[in-house]
Amino acid sequence: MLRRAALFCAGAAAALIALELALRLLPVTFGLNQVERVNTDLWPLHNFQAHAPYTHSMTWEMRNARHGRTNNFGQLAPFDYVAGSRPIIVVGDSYIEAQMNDYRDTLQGHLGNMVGPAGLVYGFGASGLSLSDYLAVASQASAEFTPRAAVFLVINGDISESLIDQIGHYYFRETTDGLTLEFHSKRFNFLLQRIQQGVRDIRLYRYVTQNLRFTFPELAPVFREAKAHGSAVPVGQQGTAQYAVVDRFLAELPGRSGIEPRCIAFLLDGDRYALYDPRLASPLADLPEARAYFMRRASELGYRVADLQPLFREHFKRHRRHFDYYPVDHHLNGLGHRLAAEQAYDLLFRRAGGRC
Amino acid sequence: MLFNSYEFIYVFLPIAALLFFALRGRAMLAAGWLGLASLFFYGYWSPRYTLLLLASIAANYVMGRGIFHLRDGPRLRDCRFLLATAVAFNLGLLAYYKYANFFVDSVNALAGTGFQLERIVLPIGISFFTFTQIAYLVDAYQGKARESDPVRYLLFVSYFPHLIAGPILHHSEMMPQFADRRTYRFDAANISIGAAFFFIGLFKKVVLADGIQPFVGPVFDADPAYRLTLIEAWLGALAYTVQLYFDFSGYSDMAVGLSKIFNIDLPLNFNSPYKAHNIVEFWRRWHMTLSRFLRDYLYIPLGGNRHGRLRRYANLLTTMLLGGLWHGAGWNFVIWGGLHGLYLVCNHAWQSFRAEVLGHDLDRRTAPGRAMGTLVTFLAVVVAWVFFRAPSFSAALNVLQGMAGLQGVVLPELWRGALAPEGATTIAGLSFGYLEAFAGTRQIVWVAALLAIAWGLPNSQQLVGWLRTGVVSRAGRYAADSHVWSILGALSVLISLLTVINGSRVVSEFIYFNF
Repeated sequence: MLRRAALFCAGAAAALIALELALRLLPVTFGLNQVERVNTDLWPLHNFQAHAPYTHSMTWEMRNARHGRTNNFGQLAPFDYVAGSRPIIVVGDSYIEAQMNDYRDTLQGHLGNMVGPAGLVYGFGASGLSLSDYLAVASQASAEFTPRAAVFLVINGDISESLIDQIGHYYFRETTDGLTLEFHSKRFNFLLQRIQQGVRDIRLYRYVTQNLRFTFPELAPVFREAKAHGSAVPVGQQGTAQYAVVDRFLAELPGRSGIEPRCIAFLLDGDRYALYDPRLASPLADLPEARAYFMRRASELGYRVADLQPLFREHFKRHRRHFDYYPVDHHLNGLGHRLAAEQAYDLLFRRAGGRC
Repeated sequence: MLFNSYEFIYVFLPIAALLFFALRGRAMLAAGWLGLASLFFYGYWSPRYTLLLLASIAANYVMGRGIFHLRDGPRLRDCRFLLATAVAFNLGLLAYYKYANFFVDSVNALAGTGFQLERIVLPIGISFFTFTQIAYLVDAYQGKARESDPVRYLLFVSYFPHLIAGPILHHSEMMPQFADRRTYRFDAANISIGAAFFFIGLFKKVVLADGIQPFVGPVFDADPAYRLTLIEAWLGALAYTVQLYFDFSGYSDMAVGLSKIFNIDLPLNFNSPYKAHNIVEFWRRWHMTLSRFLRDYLYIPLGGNRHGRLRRYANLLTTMLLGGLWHGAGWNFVIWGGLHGLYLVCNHAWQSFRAEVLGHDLDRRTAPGRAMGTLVTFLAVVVAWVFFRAPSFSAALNVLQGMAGLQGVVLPELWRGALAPEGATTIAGLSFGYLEAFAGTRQIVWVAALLAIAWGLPNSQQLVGWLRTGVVSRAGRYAADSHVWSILGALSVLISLLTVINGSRVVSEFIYFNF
């Protein structure tokens, strides 16, 4: 019996080794290890570990493989960011992180080309960020670079997720004095970190967890802290709270970023899949009224605002081309980023008269 | 419950197998357990229809016994009447659940009436368990089958590896295995062979069939106003051709493998059909148990080839038309069956012409002749699959017109940079444009790779045959045991990975579940 069990395990081990060797020859998502979210000076301005080679691919068949190296801020740019260089900063979540695009096909890449050699454009994106995190990015970027202008790509969920108490994120907590910005620090666990460092070098593990997005839903709490503690605001008060988030964000941003509102552009993403096929319309995490309020209020306060949905609609009507990796991934592709960059350039330099 | 789901692989199968082997000393109990597990497997999809399945099994068991008793006595006419009643009962059940809506819709369309019938949900596997039992009844009438044990009969019909989508079983090939006490023993060699079949089937489904599936929908489900062009239509039709093959043969391999784990051999359903040199051979290689059923219980009773050439052709056409209708309640399936009937008639007529008029020896084939035969057969099959897959007649015509180039030949805009000189809008008279139903070069690579596998690689039974003879049987007893356990260990890892890959996507049912 014992012999048979040993033979079974030997066969299993041989298969695991063979798979690992095979996957080492293939473009498995690999190398993008986020910085520990314990230091409020680093995260989220520093996204991944600096100067690390990486590979990104999507889905089980490792489509759209991209290879590169993170820069000194752990951002996916082929150059290092220089302190005090007064760049234009482009802020967002995984859409701006843009693992799935070559740098030249990102909003920041396109905008950099449009601005030309006279201007620097730095992208700051990290998966899962929302408006509350963007305030932290703005503060950190201000202290580090003294930016001259900013572009924020706002996607569905950015408002409502600001109210969710998530580990390793900034969020708005409702108090008697209104909303306060707080950071839920990730607890540092030495043993867990060593284990994570060990397994994340295994391609098979990366393939299963990154490409296949496999999780053990039931076992997860045993191995890691609960991902979210839920919304800091009761469901019934979400509407009011989302308006409050918008007000708070817009009020604090100039002070935190050190940039005047006229040099800050907001690009609001839409539901692109709904343009391709109305049956594919996504459920909205942010209330449509809150999104509309964001645009209206931002304009009133002097910010530059563009709704990308009408732009995408017109373009799709004429060219029938997708702006993302439909149907497997909502993230913007090169075309989506280019159109967004053109909008940003228009807002900051044409309509603002080049004063940014 | 799908064979490729977590709940099947990690919960149902281990429990079913462990208890089955735990009861190995008591064959009747083990068979009962397997029958019960099979009913649970079916009921997991719809508990309500489990009652229908049980009622069908009970009624057929009773009628089968009645037929067998009557045929031995002087009341042969009663026996014949009972057989007719039993077959009518089964066909009636199938007609109600599968064809009632189709019938009402057709009458409304033809007569302009407005009859209403609530949408009837098709009980999964009804076509398969109905045909299995009709075959049993006919065999009982002909004295080839007799089953006195209700538990084994229940297991014969409901046996979970074949219940949902076949293979369609003959009573005579299953009951001796259920009766054999050696079936109810633990056999690691059989488990490893079964696991190997299961792995190959799972790979075909998860990697090959589901991998190419995204390229099929945009062509066949295209907006009716969109006219498919040559490249789109051909790539879509070819993609579906290989998707269907790997999906259904993958399912059949999994069924054969699962059954082997329980020491029961199921008949094979596929034998590299796209390698067939003519359409007659294609039907000997594609869905072999259905072909066998149609031959034994339809074509031969209709007269087969016993009443002259014309009657034979008429029998072939009738058999294939009904075979098409068996697949689904829709005119497209009838057209598909009719086309295959026509192909078979042409094939037989051509062979007769060659043998009788040209004096050719049909057993002697040249390599170019075989290649040409394979290509022509394959193209004919591809054209017929268009009707099989298209949601409507007009959608099928859209694809076929596209394949014929009647709706234009447009090169993908993506290729302009590579094919045309800077600034050119056409090349060799062909324009470039955005093709809605073309997914890029990846689609061509997928189609080419899967065709190469279907044409160039050995099939599942050849692969497992090599494993059986080369690794398990030829080794000494001690070494064979070692090989078996290490193969099982390796296969369990590979099957787990395929299950996770499958779980990373939306639920993907087997195509033949619809039939």
